[in-house]
Amino acid sequence: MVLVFLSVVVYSQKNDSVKAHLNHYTFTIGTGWTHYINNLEMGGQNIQKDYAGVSLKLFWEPEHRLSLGLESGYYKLFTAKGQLTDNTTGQVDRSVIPLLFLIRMRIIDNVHLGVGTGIALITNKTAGGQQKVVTETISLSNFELSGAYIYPLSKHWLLGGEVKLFHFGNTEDTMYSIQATCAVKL
Amino acid sequence: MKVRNFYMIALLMLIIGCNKESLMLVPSSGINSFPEGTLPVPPLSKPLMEGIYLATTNTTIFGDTMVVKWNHYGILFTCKNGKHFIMDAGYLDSVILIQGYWRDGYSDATGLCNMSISGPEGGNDLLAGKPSPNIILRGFYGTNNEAPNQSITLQYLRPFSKKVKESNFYILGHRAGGRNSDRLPVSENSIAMVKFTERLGTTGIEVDPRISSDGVAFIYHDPDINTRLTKKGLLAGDVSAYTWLQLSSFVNLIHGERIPSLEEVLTFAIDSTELRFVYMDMKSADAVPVVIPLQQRAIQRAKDKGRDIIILMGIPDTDVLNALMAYPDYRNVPSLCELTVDDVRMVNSKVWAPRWTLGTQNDRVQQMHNEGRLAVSWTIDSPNWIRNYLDQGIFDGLVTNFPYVVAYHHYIQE
Amino acid sequence: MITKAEGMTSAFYCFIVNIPGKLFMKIRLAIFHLLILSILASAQEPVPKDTFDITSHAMQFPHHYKKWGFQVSAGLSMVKPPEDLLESAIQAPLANVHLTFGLPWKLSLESDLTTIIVSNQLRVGPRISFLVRNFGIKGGWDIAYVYGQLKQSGFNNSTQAWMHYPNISFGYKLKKMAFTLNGELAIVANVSTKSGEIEVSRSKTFLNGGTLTFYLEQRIHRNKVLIVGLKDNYVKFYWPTWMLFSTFNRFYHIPELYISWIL
Repeated sequence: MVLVFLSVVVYSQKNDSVKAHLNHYTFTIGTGWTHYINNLEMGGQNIQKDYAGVSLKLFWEPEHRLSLGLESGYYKLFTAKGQLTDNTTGQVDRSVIPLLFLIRMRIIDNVHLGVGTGIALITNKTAGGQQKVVTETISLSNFELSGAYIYPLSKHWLLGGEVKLFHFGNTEDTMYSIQATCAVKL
Repeated sequence: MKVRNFYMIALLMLIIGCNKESLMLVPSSGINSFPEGTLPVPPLSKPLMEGIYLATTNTTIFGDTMVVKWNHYGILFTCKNGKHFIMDAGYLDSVILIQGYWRDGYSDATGLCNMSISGPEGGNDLLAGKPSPNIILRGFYGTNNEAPNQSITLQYLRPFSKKVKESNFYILGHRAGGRNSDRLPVSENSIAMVKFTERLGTTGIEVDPRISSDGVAFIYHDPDINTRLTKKGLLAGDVSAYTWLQLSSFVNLIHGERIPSLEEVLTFAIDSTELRFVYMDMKSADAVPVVIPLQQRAIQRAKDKGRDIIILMGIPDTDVLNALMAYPDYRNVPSLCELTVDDVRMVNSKVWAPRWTLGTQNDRVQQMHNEGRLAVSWTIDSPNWIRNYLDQGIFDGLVTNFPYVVAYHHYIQE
Repeated sequence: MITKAEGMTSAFYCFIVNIPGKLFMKIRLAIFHLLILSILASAQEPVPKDTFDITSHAMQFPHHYKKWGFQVSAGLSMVKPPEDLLESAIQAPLANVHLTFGLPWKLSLESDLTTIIVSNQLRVGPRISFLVRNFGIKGGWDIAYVYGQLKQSGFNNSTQAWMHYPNISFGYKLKKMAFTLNGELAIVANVSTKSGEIEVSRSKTFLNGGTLTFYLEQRIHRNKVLIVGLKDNYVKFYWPTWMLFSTFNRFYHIPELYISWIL
């Protein structure tokens, strides 16, 4: 009976030309350098633009080249100092938490290209004039372009690197990031 | 290998719709473009020049009729299709010289323009303070900054009708005159716009008051600091979360102006313009107790200066309505209500202001008139709708981003 | 590796030989095992070659659609209307259903329904397609009806419009994916809008602009195909935003990211 059951299972796989067990999920964490592309028309003279950032991604990777996923993370965009009209100095810090839907395609071997869109939470911290102000804005028009090299170390673990470009529409901020990534197949 | 090479071709090109258009530049023929010794046109001559003119050349571009109307700062020529001329005038000997630029309110077309009225063709009569039925303006216009080389001739047809002269119709400039997307040379809701707006044909303005975190009332439309209204800078997020000092220091509007305080705007409107109507479209209920004393001071200032100007607190929603009703003696606060006619009566508003998309609502407007109130509609921009509302509606004013179009359809009425 | 044929032959050979009782039982067991082995062996054969060909599964790629055959895809377009209209940087989703119906003589019919609830467009039009090796070309002309209605929150308006979309597509396919470049013009034949009781119509036909789209079609899961498209609308009148009553006489670039799943 056991042998008959096995034979039925094996026989049914013949009708599927695609190996279903290749369909899986991947969780990726990345960290690296981020650089803000300074396009400020006011207050951009005294600005710190380079920080570290972190990203988290969850992908559904079906058996072919395309993958669909969600990405989040935390990036500090810039810190800037400026003079107020009462001749005191103020400081502004801006950071972003994106939540993007991604489509990624394996181009050749371990090289992937991706595009994403979604929402982002932009936080602005302002200190100056004896008052600290924290504002949060949800940006509804954002996109990401990315390129990654992901090398499989073992059946479940992957290591790689990624370059990505973000644009946040609400504040028209653009940054890029180069990250090392580590992924696990779930 | 062939396949791999193909794969390496860039597959994804995300087209970035870069819709932040270049800011409109006002064409200029340079400083000191008027000849030396030009004198201002006498006040008595100005109303004699106003009226309806027939265009006898280049009618495909500007249409066949134009309305010519003086304002506090210059003279406006406006056409049916949204094109208009923003001009200055002076005279030398017996010739009236008119110089400036034309623009299309609905697109980005613009150019320089020079015109004149010679002595025998009306100049002599006008400068002597006599009406002349034979006024002819002759001149040239061009494209962008090119020297004007296309001829334009306007022949006086008739003065404004009695109906128009006796009318107290308000042409209200939205956001003080127009939006940033209308490519005007000044920013919306700025002092510069309050100064510029009469050149567009407005007789009143609508502005957007808010308050800063330390209680200063200022004029700004959007709830957040963004690149539509401001030069890209250090601040972002809720504009009302910042102090007045932070806003003044770190924010400039897109043409470089500062965000103005409400007090600055009201003072300028009273002292430096001939505007007759200010509609403060309250953007938050918190601003009501701050704005009321400013409004009262401004009304007193206008009275002391003998200015004929209505300054109204706008009520766009129930939050502002409730905040107003929490004020003692709220029924004596001059207000304009956008809600229902019952709400108008409840707070004793002077003006009812329904959205134009609800139709002309002549029956309700007539009720307001019967009660001694006014009615204006907002914000109406299409030439067809403006003409329809002026022909079929009985509003006392229209809020618009295209005051020159409203001006055309209003002044040309017979 | 024992093939199925070899196993069956061995079993049959054993069976026809004259064998005594106990041995016969052993032989029967042997035959049974051989049968099982043969089945397992056949399962161990190499998986048949992936025979998927994008041509018959694609929708946008120009090819000879299956005669009398339907294809349907459903998806979303994320569109970024111009800031001049919305006064804000916002992306909005448009829901979309696309249908193809194959006809003889290289013809087909395509239909598209796109909606954002308060604004809807239905377009229908014929296509003629040619496929030469891996290159395809398709041309057509769509007629579209736009209807929008908004009667809440200070609005009492509706709009109707008739539009034309002459279009052409060029495609190139590999075995498992296809690339298509589509260009079309947008011509507005008639627009009428109502505000309360007043109706304003414009019957003068005008060229509203055009759209250029790049589509990539490939399998996402098993043999289901996903279409990813990047679209640039270069138009004056953008029908999903009719309720903004834009008066601008300007062309705007309005990008869309189009994702659709062929059902």
